Amino acid sequence: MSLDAFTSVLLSGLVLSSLYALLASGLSLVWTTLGIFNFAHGVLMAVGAYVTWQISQSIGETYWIGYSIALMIVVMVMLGAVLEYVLIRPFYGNKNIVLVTVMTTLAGLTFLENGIQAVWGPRLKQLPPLIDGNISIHGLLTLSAHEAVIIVVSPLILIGLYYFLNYSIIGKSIRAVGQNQKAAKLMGINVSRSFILTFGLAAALTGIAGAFYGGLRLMNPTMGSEPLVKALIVVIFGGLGNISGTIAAAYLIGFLEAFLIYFIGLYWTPSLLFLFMIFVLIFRHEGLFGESARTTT
Amino acid sequence: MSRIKTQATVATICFALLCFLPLFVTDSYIRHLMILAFIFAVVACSWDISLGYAGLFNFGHVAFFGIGVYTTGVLARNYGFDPWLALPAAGVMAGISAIPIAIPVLRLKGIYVVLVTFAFSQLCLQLVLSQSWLTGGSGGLVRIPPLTLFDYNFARDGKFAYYYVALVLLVFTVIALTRFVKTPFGRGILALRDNPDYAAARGINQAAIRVTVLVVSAIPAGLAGGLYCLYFRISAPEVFSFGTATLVLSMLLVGGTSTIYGPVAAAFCIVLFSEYLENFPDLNVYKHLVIAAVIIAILRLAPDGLAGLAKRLTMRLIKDN
Amino acid sequence: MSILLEVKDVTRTFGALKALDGVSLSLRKGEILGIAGPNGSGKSTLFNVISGIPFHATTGLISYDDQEITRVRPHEIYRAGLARTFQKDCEFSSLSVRDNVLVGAHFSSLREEMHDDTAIEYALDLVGVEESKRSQKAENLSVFDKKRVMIASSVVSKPKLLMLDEPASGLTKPEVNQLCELILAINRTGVAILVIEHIIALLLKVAPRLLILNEGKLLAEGTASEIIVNKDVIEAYLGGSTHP
Repeated sequence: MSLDAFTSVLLSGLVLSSLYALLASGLSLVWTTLGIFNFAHGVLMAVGAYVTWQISQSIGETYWIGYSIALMIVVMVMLGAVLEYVLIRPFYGNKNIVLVTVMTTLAGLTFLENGIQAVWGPRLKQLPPLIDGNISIHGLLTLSAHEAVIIVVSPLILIGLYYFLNYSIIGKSIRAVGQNQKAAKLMGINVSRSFILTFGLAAALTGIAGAFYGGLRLMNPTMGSEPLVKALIVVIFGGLGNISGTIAAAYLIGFLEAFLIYFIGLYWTPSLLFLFMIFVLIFRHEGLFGESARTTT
Repeated sequence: MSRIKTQATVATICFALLCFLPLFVTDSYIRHLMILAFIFAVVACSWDISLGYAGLFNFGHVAFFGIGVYTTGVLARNYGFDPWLALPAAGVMAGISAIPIAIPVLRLKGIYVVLVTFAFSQLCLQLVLSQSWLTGGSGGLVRIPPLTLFDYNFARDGKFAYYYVALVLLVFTVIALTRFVKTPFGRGILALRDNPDYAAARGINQAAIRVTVLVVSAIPAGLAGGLYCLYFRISAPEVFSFGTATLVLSMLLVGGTSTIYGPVAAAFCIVLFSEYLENFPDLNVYKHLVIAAVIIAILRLAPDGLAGLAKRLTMRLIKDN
Repeated sequence: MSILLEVKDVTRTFGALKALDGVSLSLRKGEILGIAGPNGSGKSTLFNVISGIPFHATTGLISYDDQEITRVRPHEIYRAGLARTFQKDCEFSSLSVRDNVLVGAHFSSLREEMHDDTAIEYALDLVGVEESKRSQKAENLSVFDKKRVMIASSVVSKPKLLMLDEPASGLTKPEVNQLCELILAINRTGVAILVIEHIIALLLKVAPRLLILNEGKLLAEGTASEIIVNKDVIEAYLGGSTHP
């Protein structure tokens, strides 16, 4: 394999990994804290991209896209809170909560996907890149500045998330709720506020991933469904309920996917990834980086 | 006792009505909707065995349907099998493919079962997409031969014959599954769901029950897939999609789990309701929004589904009399 | 009389904790053996490793009816004729009372001999669950009725050994008396019984021979009258108080 091909595989792996990490960490966060699996998570990526596009259209395209992204984050936090309130909240205490929320989040997915279609129509759209131009390093490696921003900014966001969860009061209370809801309640933590916050945070992370993605490829209402499935694989590999494991797994899967596509082709790669996922679930369902299984049935 | 009698009476009346319906309704579009409802009702009520009765969060049931669609499609289209042979082969193939999926399910519980079965259905989809020499890839298989008998095409006379084939499949499935859950073995399935430790202490082999449940629920789904394929004369990868899974799962949850007849009733309601919305062209994109909202509302307001509502209603009637 | 159940030097550890530490006991056919001990003494763990639910012994040997069952899967242990109950009131909540008992019969070694429901009705007669309650869902029963249904679902399989895990917990005094009668009645049909109780009073009524467990070890063994005057037992189990 030539050096040229190698670096391009490496680069696409890095870009993919960064997006998966943003998406998967939100998915994992919701799972840890609320104990439910959010199938509407992927479509939030599309919502984030479309909302960013809408904001940039209203404030005028002369402004840098970063401002629109910042405003979009606010919208996404509110949307996440609304989703939690409508799709999850009514079913706490239901003995079938895992199953019922699979259904309600799937309904949420259908709703949002068709909602995008209804509001923005089927015409394909694209966001402007965060930074124009290309970067070339010694002629070995050429990538767009936008990709470079994704590669650099995503880990920074994730590091920020890690510190937020581990060192801030709100972050700690979210983790406490995830570990033991009852005890957290007894300690005076507002559990339902933590749930809303978690959903809002997850939606914002996914929205950012969507805005990044929208500058890379054309947007459509179902642009989040494939990344959701990838995020699912990532979360399984990293171990449910384990943020640092999830982030590590995102990079591992991103690279693995890039290399598999290079060596065995686009057709067999997804099948192999799912096969890996099934094996991980069977033999080590706490994930590759998980320490112990969460005892949730 | 009277509740069971009421149920049997209602079932018999419905069956009689469905039998004679095509004599009065000659519109082939309405018949088409009924065929669709019959097929999805089979998928939904067979899913009820693993999801409802056994309490297994099996999320890959639609994959059995898809496997049926492709088994029949590949055999009839690529290898020239008689459709009458390719149809039962779909049931057999779905039943066999339930065994490998049972292996991980035996070791896992809760959300992990959802994830591993979901991965299984995605794996099926990916294999179908990648093996285009066999499956036609993302375009699917087209021009699959229809069911015929002595040169009589079943789609003729306003799909008259397809209507009855689908009805027979549904009636056969409902009767077989209802009987199955009433056997002592079927009671064991419920016992295992209610209390796994106690069930083991009464001689119930968890592995045997789970494998049996998955195989038994996969067979009707596979047959329904086979019929779906012969009726539409295509095998398309969409059968493995989120959309199909959501549709059938909503029938199950709206109808009420662990009832068999609930999902069947819901299949009719959902197919007819979503087609009714087609009458409003202005609604077009909003149709799915309405359906999603209705599903959430029903899950919220009637957590036991339509069957739960019917139960409460008959209870009240019995009390009043 | 010949030995039915033999437990040899059985240990069960959870990490650093030794829940059972070299316990041995044997039980003859048709015998009633009582096991008592304070909370955390390892009584329930002993039951769990014998029945294989939900775990097996870490080391040691358990044989039943001259066959080793240390690592045998729980449903096979039941089919061999060793049935247990649980301390908390357990039931198959979505099944009727009759079907609760039916499950016990159908998945036992007796399946081929079951032609009608007489065995089920007989078992329910034996434990004293009224005819009118038998079509109800088991979850609507009282605690005592649930416990009786749980016993019925095991005696219906004609076990050789019935293991009762704190059967008297949650029962009123008259119910405990009825329970004692029931235990003796089942024993009269030739079933050996191993019964764990926190309250020694019940054991004194039904079990001629008693074992006392403490901190995972066998502390004392003997007849009822020997046990209640045993100094170690009074010290460890009763904490020196005079409460029987």
